[in-house]
Amino acid sequence: MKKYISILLIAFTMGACESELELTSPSELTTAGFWDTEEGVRTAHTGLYANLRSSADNLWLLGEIRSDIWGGRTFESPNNESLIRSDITVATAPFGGWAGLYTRIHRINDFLANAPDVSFVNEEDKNHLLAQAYGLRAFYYYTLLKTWGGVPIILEPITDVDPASLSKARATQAEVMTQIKADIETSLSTFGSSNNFWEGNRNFWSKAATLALKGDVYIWSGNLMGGGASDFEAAKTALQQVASFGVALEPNISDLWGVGNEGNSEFIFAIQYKQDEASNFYNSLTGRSTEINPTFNDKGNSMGDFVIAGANRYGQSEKTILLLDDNDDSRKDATFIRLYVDDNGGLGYTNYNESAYFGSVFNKFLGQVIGSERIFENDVPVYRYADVILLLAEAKNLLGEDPSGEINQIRQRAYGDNYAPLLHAYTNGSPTENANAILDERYKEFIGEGKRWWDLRRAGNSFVLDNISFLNPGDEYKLVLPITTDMIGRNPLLEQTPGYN
Amino acid sequence: MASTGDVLIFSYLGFTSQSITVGDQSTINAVLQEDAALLDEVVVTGYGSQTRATLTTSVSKLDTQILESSTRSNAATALQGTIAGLRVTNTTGQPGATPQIVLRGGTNFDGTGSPLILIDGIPGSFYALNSDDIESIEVLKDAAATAIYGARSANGVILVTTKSGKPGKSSINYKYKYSMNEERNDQKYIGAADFINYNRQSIAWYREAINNPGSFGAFLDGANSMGTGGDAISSPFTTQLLTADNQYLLNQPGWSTIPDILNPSQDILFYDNKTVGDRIYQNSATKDHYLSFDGGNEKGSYYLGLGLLDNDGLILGSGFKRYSGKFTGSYRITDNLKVNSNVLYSHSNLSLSPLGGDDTVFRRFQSQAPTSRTYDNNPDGTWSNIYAVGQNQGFGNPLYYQDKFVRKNLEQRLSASVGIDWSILDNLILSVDGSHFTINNHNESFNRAYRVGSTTGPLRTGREASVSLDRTLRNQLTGTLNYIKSVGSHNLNALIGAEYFKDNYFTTSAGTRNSPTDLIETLNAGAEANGIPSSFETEYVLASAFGRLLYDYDNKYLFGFTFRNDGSSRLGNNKSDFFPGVSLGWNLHNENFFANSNIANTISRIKPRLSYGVNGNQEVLSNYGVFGAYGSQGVYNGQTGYANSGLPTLDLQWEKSTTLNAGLDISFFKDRLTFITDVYSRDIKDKLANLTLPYYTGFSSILTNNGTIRNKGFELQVNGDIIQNQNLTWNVGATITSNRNYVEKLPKNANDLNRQDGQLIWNAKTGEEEWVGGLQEGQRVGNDLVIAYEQEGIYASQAEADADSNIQDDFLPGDKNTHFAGDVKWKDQNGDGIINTLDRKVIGRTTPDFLGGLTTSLRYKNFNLFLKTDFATGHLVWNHIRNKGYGQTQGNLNQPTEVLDSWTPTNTDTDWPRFVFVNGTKNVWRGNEGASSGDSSSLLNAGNSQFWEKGDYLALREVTFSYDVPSEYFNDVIKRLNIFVTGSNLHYFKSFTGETPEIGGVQYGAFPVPKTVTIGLNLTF
Repeated sequence: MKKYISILLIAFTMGACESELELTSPSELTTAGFWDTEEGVRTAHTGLYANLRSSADNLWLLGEIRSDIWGGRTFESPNNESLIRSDITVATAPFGGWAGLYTRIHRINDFLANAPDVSFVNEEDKNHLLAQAYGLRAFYYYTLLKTWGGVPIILEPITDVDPASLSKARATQAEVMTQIKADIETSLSTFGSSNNFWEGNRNFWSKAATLALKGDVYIWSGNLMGGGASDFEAAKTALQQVASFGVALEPNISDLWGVGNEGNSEFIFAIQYKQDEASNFYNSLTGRSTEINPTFNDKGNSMGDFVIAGANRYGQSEKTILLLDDNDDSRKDATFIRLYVDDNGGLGYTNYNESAYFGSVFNKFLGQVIGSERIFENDVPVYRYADVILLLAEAKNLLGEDPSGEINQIRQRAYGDNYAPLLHAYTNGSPTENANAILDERYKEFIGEGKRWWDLRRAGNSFVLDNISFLNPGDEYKLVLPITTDMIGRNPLLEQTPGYN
Repeated sequence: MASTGDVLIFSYLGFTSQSITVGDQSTINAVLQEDAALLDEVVVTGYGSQTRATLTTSVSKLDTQILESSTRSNAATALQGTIAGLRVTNTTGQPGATPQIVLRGGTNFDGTGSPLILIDGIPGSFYALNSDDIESIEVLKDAAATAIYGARSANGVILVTTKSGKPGKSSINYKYKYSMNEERNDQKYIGAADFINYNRQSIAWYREAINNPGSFGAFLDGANSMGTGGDAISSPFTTQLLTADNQYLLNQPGWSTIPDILNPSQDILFYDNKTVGDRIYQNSATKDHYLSFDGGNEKGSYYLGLGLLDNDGLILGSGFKRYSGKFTGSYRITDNLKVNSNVLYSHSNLSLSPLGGDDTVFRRFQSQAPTSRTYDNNPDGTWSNIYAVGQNQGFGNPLYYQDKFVRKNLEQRLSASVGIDWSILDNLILSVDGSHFTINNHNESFNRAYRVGSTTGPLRTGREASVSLDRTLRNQLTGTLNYIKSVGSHNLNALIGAEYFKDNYFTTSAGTRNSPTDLIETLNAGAEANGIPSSFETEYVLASAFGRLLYDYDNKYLFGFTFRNDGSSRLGNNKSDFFPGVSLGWNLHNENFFANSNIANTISRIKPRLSYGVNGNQEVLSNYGVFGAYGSQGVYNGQTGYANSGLPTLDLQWEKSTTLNAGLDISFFKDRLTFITDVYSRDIKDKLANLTLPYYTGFSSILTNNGTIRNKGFELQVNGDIIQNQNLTWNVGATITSNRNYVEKLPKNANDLNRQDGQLIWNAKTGEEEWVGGLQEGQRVGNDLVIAYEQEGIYASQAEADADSNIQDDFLPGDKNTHFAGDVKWKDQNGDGIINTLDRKVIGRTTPDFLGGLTTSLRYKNFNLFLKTDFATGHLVWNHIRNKGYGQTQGNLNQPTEVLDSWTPTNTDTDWPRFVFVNGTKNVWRGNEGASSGDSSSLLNAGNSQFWEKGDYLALREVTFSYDVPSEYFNDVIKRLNIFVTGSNLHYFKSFTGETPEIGGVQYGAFPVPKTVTIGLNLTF
């Protein structure tokens, strides 16, 4: 009898259980079935942008923090001082793991590998999504190239992990640039005639964005990688097309910033932020009420009622303060709130006063106050039309043409009613004068938007060394970053960035 | 039918067998004595029990005397130092918290791995379990013992058996314990005058080092702890420049002035807040009531236990309250059918500090500057009764914030089981047990309106309310057939069974904000949703068949075989696997040649054992991870985005740990002195671990069958009954354990020794660069390695510093060749004139070499003195409460007293570098403040050797003095009255400056276990 019972028992368990062990997850998505439907592709598409947003602070740091904008007075412990000072060694190599950008690239590769096989109700929609993904991939590789020089080129999602063959060397800078240009062209051809923004929304990449990127990239390759005039022409052509996509300068600066104005027509591609979804990182460019409330702004008004719970990790450099200290230029107040320890007898400080100056609050992305809390929910532009105009100025200048029209377009908007051509207009000068004028204009225009370090780099090494006091002749190798020993430990075929050995 | 002259042998598991020669009486009463000898104890082995005399595997049993005296908000604390092979670490003094438990070094590369804990056969945990309900705790250690639990057993199995009624006795028992808990206060800080001087000087030094004269101005002039921006009424800190307007404060006690060290022409007025670090504490006591009824007869038995534990924690707002109830009953319906039922219920409230995690409370709040203001001042300079606010909720006055963040927890745990035992035939029993276990954990939180900065600072009225419910459901059905037969000298015990287990977890949460009032703490008063409401469900299933065969011949030759075939839903293409174990033992003392020899007079018993087994481990697997994952990336433009966040790994196999265990049980002098020893080697093959990947893959690692780890070690348990008289007994017990983890094999890759991770340093012995740490074939696992920059000395003078201007220090913030007096002179290990990551040195490990404990019990008549200690040696600790204070990277932290011995122009002969603001010249640590073993800049890999400390300790864990009031006083109405006083966690003998030497590695700030004094009584009717 016991034999029967035991047999029964075992048969029962083993038989019943094989099927019992097949579970489907109630709340998590696995690879099974993810790419079967158009909805899957659309949610992956949304994922690409939510993912990009996770890198927004790094993208800002990479594009700006080594420039001369920051490094001034803060009233809390400053962040990233060594980057600001270009104090970079292998031992302290920043942005280990390629700043996480390959995670973004993997997901784009996954998207590009799977989405084409999914049938859409409207195939044009699918092409728009694919074209966006190619544009984003070019954008990521361009960021990698500018930061580290040559990097590994990965175009397929990793599916199989074989430890024996995982090590992969860097491609050359030229190879990376070729890939970036190829992705730009694929993006443009896949967009085809789809000139529209996805769902009419500039929080997604678009053909206009790819063209803006193309201008940016071709100036870089033309000026720094030997591409010369043909690249500048390509840049110019691309940038000139952008205006035809319903993109224009906002008439005045005050219309450009603020949560209420996010639907403006100047933004070409902006990363989206919203309460309860995500908040941007610009609260660390503000401060805490403990320090800010007792101070006064430069109009002599008390900051006592200013609602803020941020941090003050970055202070504008004195160079920035002085550059923007022009009361005719609407960008002065649009960019920073300057704090003083007193109200100067009610008069405030019309111009910078070093001894009474306490610090600044970055004003572009201050979000809005809801209840007793400030919500940092401004969209943050990656490309906006002012950028395109000044890139066009760069391309023209590099081609030996007159860039003053573009420069003055930006100045006119900045000075608004105060604009006096005799005082404020730029007239064409030598290529170097023009280049410096464009750089200064971009400096004032794009503070906090992750641009100036790239601007200086794109202009050429001499412009970087002229403007960054921490870099001297002989330091050119420091313009690109070293990689960490951890990165080499994981991938022995990686070689250290030249100059750091 | 026995005839006169026959000898009847009465025996029962766990009792000394008794022989009675039958006379002419018709009834024979035999009262069996419980076995006293360690080697005769009964051990529960999973789906059954055995006496240690026939046991061939490695099983330890807790001496339950330990559970009698202290109040324990978590029963697992009793295991510390009492079970050989088990490392039990109190990671927090939070009442109710379960300590970390690791058996034999753990099967994970990072030395972790939790044993399977079964409470009356149901997978659970020690949380909220009433220690008074516990009858016994056994720890199955070697693979042959644990193989019966197959895929969940690699990290050992802890079997907790709760009490049940015993036939014949009927009793009522009441216990009461009252404990007072005291703070440890080992961490010492400097006073306000020193604080101001050292910090202001540190900013000046920082400015010089970085060549930026304006740095940190707000810390000199603003409303910071050493800044002069305080005011006379309500600023967070009291520091301010002395003026005619505020000098009246000097009339009040505690206020004084010092000249500004940076500008002696001005005086700084401040209040020396000597109790600033004590503001995190509250009065702490524990009340523990327990009432039980038990009894039984030949038909059935019952046990009913009720408990109430109320423990106010030592830090503000912390505590643990538990109501528990337990019922166990059995009834024999017919001669061959018995039913039994077991119900355990607990209802608990866990209160965590509303101020934040342990590190926030102990590193930030406890280490606040001594210039902090606790109360606002009245205009006349006296203190008001209004709490000052302080800077903000993360670094403010704990007394102000203590009631601002309401956090409520309610957890209900119920485990209920029903079983039948059916004697189908003689010697054959079919058992079927079904059980259900549920945890409902309910959390509510509400933020009252609060201010920041000061009592006139902005009022935050977000009033966020949130609620969450976590629910765990576990169902288990077990069937076993057990056949026991003795034929002649052949004794056979065979078991075969099957089991189905399902674990389902569900969680939900939601919140609202902008409620108009503090009076309503629930969601309904909120004006709108706060965030996105969420629910989430996940589950897994195990299906198993298992069996065991125990055989002995004449109690001399012992043989055991166990197996389990487990299938788990957590794996893809290889769901099921087979886990066998086999063990042998030889009761040498039962051999005639031994028993008849002289040696038997000395050695009473001797049993060598040998076992080998295979275990699985499914804890390293997530429920659906092998199927790949598309994880949520958050909401963008109103839609939730998903992206590939995990690669599918359907071909993963079970990780299998095989243990070879050799043991020797030996006792001397009629069992007066007993040793149980084990040596083992455990190979964890196809280890499921994260393989670090090149970053270009988009992943930092992937879970693979990543090679083989080996744990090697030995365990010794000693018990000595030194004195055994009628009136006086003295017993001493000790355990000692040592374990090391090695990497045996790794998947082939492009590195030497197939290395994964690791740090590149200079090896002075070979004169070459060398990878250390990480995982390398043939070496010890490197995840617990401490690699540090070696402090050669302190530059006593600027001349000494200048003499090193040829040394380039890559970590200096300013010029790499400019050194300053008072900074650390680093050892240039490779002599290349550059201080960089190559100049680090391996200085030790974060896991101990040896650990163990010593217990002793002395009884004289009705008095008993019990003492328990435990120890660990060989681990290094980084006390970040102290070291972050020394680094001052927070800006307003107080400094440890070591700073008083730091280099200054007048104190040049010292090992303590000058105190520079925000660790500016990288004297304390040279990278970041992380603790990842894979990050070359983390504290584990880039600290200053001077700041690492030895964690060696001996803890005086418990001293209990008890007295049994003779029962004749009560005419036997009361069967037993025992009163006692216990001191718990009384003292650590240690050199470590912090309060928690048990926790190796980087301690960001731990909640130390309090010193506790308990008085109690134990009353049985």
